[in-house]
Amino acid sequence: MARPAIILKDVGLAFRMHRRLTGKRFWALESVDLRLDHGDKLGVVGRNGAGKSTLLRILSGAMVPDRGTVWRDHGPTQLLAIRLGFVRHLTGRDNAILSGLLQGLDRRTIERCLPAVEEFAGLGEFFDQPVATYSSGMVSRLGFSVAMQMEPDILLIDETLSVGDNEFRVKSREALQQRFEGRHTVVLVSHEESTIRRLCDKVLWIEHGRTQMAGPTDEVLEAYQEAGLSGASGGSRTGP
Amino acid sequence: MSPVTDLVRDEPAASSGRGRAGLAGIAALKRYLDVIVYKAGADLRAERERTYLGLLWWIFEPLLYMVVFWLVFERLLQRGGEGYVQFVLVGLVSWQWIKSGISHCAGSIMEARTVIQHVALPPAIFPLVVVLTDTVKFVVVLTLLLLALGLSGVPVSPSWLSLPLVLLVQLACIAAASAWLAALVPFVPDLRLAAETVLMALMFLSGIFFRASALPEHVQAVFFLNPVAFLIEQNRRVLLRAEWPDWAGLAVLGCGALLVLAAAIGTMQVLRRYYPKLPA
Repeated sequence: MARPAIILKDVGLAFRMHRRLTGKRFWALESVDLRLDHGDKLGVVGRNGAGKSTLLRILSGAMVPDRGTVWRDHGPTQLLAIRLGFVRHLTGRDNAILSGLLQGLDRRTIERCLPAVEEFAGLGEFFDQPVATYSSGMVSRLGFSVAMQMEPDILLIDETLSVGDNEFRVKSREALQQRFEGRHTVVLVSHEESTIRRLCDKVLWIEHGRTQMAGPTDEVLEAYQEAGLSGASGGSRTGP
Repeated sequence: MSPVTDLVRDEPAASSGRGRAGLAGIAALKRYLDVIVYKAGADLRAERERTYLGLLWWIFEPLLYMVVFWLVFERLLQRGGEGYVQFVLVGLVSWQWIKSGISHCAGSIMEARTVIQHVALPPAIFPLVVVLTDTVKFVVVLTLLLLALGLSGVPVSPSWLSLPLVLLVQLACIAAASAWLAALVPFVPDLRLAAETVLMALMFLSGIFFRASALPEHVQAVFFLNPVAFLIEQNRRVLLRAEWPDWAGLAVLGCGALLVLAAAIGTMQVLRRYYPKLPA
């Protein structure tokens, strides 16, 4: 039988409306149940503001729910974050090290990965220039290349299957799709049903912060389409 | 399988055996230390790149203060007396470190908001990075100060050897105050302004520009209960008067500061679940 990696029971999370310890809260996630097994490829669908991004942040461990229980097997979990902690005035190389450290790599591992980052990003001489001189596509290239150096047990992806210009778009999509092969555990939030259908074997559908349906991809997507929710435009929101 | 309701303790390998968890804990601590050191270095380099004069700005501010006060007290009011410039210089350099460390830390956790929304990191990392960057700047200025003192005829005495100890206690005090401020400002933004006001008051209450020995004796006893006044006095004793510092006072202050710092780090760990959920 499949071994569970993360189990959520009746999990909810509230953002604060004001910068105070007390006061109004906004429940981005009301009540979600989820069982993620090792090796699962889970797609998450739902309308804008349904709580998909918040769910990923709980799965990553960065956010602690305000109700419900979370059980997790040990092992690193990564929420794919491009340009996390980047400092504009530093070189691509320095930012790669800094971002890698923040995301959980130790110094020695990063140093070892640097040639791979440099090659994958394909920035040429710009790798040793300040990120402030980069185009936004180049920043994404660098950020993506760093993020791909992690080897988490569970990879969480929020909408970003491909970044950068056309050439890099193909390259980054291929690199991510590799993570969907084999024993990796992946959770993908996406508005592209075709992508989810192609890559995921299970789907979680959340609506207004609640689990609407969970199960095999075909069944859930069919119900999702019947509810007239498919094809909703993408977008992400970080808080209230 | 055991339910984990409190993810605050949800470090990697939290559910493995105690020995492995211990090792993982040490590895995690080492990584956090790596993050602090590298991020501090990166911020310093970024700051140097951002301005035309870079490093020189760190020296200009205390230098400017010094010139102004020398002009006002020694030249215009003629109240300085012998060694006044050195006296103010030591006080100002020391104060600059305390003031900048504390005031720069206030917003550090909210500035790292995007990072802590994506990865589980102890919030204490961010104020400590700021304390470290300001400490590096201080060391640069201190080197110049020692040179200037030597050149201006202050004798280099054995008491200078105790300077690192005085500075370590001072560092612990700065880190403790900064950590508490950083921990609470996300919830009470007004504290940042309150801290600025308190710092301004402390600048005038800590004997940077006047000699505490001029105060009545019973006032002096209270005066040196202020840790800033006490620390600045120790700096002057060691550097200018060739005296050893107040060992007992330093020991009490150092231990107290470390306890307060530990409490602040603990508080941040408890509040950690709230920081990523606050509005920007």
